[in-house]
Amino acid sequence: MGIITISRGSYSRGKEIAEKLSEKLDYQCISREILLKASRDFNVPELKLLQAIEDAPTVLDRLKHGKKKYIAFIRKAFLEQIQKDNVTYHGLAGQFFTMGLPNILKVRITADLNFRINVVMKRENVSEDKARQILTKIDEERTKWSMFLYGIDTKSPDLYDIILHIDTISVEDAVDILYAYAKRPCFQTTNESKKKLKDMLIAAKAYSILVKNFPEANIKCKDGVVLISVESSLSVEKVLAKKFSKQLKDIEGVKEVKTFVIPFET
Amino acid sequence: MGIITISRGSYSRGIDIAEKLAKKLGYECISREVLLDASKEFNIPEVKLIHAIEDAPSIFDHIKDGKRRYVAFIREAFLEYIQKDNIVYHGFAGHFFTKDIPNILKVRIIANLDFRIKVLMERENISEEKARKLLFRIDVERRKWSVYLYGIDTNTTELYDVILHIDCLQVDGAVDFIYDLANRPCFQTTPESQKKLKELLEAAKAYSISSTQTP
Repeated sequence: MGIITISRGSYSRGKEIAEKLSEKLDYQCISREILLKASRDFNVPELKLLQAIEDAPTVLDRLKHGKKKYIAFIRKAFLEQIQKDNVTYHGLAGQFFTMGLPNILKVRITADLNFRINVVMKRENVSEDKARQILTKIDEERTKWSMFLYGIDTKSPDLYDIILHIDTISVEDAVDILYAYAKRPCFQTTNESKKKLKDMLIAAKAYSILVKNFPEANIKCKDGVVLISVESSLSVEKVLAKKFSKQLKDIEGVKEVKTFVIPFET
Repeated sequence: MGIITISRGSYSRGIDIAEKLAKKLGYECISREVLLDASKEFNIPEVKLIHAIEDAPSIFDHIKDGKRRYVAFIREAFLEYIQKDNIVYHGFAGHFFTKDIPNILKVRIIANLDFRIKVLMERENISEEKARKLLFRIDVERRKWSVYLYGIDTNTTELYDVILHIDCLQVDGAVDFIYDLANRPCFQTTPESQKKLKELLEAAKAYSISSTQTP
């Protein structure tokens, strides 16, 4: 029983590894399903969600928090999906969405630039130069995206339990290695990790409701108690507390909502 | 039959892992021996060699090109040593020296900053703040020298076959894992990889000679 997130450099055969690994572990393999679910749940076109998670932030994103809103929707859909357990997620941001959750195996798959260039050339029928440009742009976008939203480059080794470079290590080797890794006791779902995931989902649901008006809200949840801190005027603390409690009371598992206002002037 | 290089974040238990792994595989575990060999051959005190790769380049070195030459010597000694095969090398630059040779298993071991701080505090008997500062300095220095010498950041993931975070795995788990990997066919020494290693050594020798002659 476990959850695996696989971050992959584009054109690094990570998808293939994720699919083969899931089959071997008898886990569900998910990726695009998350966007489809978020799109349905929040009635937002999939393309907008895709742009939010793939493209580097624009100046407008920085000002209007549009990207934050869509990412909140995707994150909620993601956490809901992995609650089922026995899941391999491959795609963007899984390592960020599960930050702070124990027992989740976080993997990154990389490959040589030359190898990736060859794949792009074949798949997109473009020249070597063009393929290199495409990859450079994709890599830059990923870095900008993660720096903007999480303050850390998605390539940073600190984000992962294991990084495998597909070159001498083949796809089949990688699947074997990760299979053995996923079976280790430290990557098995426990009651404690389930509880944390449940709390994280509650907080994510709460944020997806409040993000439109309070994109800077910091929301945590512990044992069903939702803790919200927002920057506002102290005079409206009680009003906000009442409003938030009303908005969030129907989220499954919420026992109480506590609001903390950080005064503007501090 | 094989060669493994282990690059380690400082205070990440990489030495423990290398030693236990070598024992399990029946390989020789080396690190400082390489430096000592270089030291005997070129009559350079070992301590100076260590400085050559641990400290980031100073302005003085940019002018004299001294560090570059010392590293050339170490490269040669390293390549000479690993010709024997069945080696686990841990420490400086092993993955750089062997980056074009196939079948060599290149591993990097990392750990959380909090874990490293704890190890450093215990080992050096210093405060948390001091340990944090020291680790920060070491990390910056290491990155600087690798960029200076090779134009590559040690954090570049593409340099390694595998990067392991040992928080969950712990030392014994990491040893088991690398043991399994090292026994895979793709990391066994082949006549082709031996030939490439030999050619690389010849080139390193030629470079060492030229660097002693060129001011």
